[in-house]
Amino acid sequence: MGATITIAMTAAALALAGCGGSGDGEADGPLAVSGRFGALEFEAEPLAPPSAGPNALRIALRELDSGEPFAGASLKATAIMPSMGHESPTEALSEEPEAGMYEVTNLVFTMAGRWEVRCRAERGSLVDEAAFTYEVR
Amino acid sequence: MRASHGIASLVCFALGALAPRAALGSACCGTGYGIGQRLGDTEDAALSFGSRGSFRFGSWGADGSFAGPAGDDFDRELRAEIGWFVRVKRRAQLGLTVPFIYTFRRAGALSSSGGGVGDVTAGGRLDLVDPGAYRWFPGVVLTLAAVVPTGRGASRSTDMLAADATGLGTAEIRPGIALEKTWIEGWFATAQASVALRTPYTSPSGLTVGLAPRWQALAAAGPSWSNGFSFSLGLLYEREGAPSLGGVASEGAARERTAALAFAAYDIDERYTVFITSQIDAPIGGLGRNEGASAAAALGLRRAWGMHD
Repeated sequence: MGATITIAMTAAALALAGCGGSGDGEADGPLAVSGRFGALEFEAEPLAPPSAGPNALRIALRELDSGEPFAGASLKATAIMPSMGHESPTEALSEEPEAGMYEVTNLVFTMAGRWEVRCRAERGSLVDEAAFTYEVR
Repeated sequence: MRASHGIASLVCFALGALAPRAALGSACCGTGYGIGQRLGDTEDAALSFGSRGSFRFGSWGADGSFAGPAGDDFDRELRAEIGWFVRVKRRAQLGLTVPFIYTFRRAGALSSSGGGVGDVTAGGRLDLVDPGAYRWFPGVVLTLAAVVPTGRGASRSTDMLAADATGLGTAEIRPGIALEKTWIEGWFATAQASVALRTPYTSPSGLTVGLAPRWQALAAAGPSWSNGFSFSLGLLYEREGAPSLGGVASEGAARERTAALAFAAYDIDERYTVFITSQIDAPIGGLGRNEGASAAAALGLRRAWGMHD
């Protein structure tokens, strides 16, 4: 049975208090959400339908105020399985092939189920976070 | 003289406590180890050895829907367990179980295997009312199991698919209660309930994880014969609330599962009993949530010491 995808925006999953525009919804393709600290917009799109095993995401970062690409950031992504309470044992890799566009690879979902990808972008003193949820079957 | 009714049926009782081993990935995300085995009235101690194989054939999503595995993915586990049980008082028993686990896993383009010693379980039971003491009243037993995290939790895994995870990654206490009834006509039944309470732990990234209590209910019944053979069928239900991650409970992350169980045991003689168990999660939407579904079968041998020695 092929993997099915349900993508939900879960900025609230990061223990947010009064964050900017957290949204809920289901969609195939890119999904955008405001960061926890209201500085950046995160737009994530899987490069292939999420499945058990290695996965890759393309994440676009933009400044919320101006809409300009947020280039040169250190972007870290961690995959966690909320129901089981454990993270993926592998470390995801991040590259920036173009300004403000980041590719996260080696994101391993070790089993079927709901996974949450937590992203943290940092450049200088500016830090923001967001999360995306994927149902891997 | 072969023990009639007694030992094989008691093994079936006890295996109702041992068999509810969670679905695959259970070593890392599992349900706890049940409430321990038990000794027969004429037994003072027992040593058991069992081997178990299981495989995952699907999973329940967060919405309770059931789906089979994707493509060529697989998740298989081999387990061997050694158990030692001793009577310390007429109504009190203690036991210790040590598992050895090996997992074979494939997910997409990745495949891996690994294993080792799992979490050691120490358990005890206190018989408040003997099962056969009253015609219409069941035996009442208080149970307590403690899981020591001697295995490797998924958070400490070094394998890309966490195939080397062999334990829960945290300590667990499981108090419970069991009702047990035997009838002269050779039937027996048991109903058991317990709750697993876990200590919080910190993931490698620094996230504090607090697993919610996991509730378990089991019912089983079956006949036993004077030739030493016993058989029972049962149902298992488990439910666990959403864990807290960094102090926040995750929405839609509660877990539950329903499984059918079968046990058979045969008293070879006064000392030896051979047993077979099987378990299969019900592949029906709505009977599980955020859990893998697996099928398992186990074969074991038990050697007891008691009045006959």
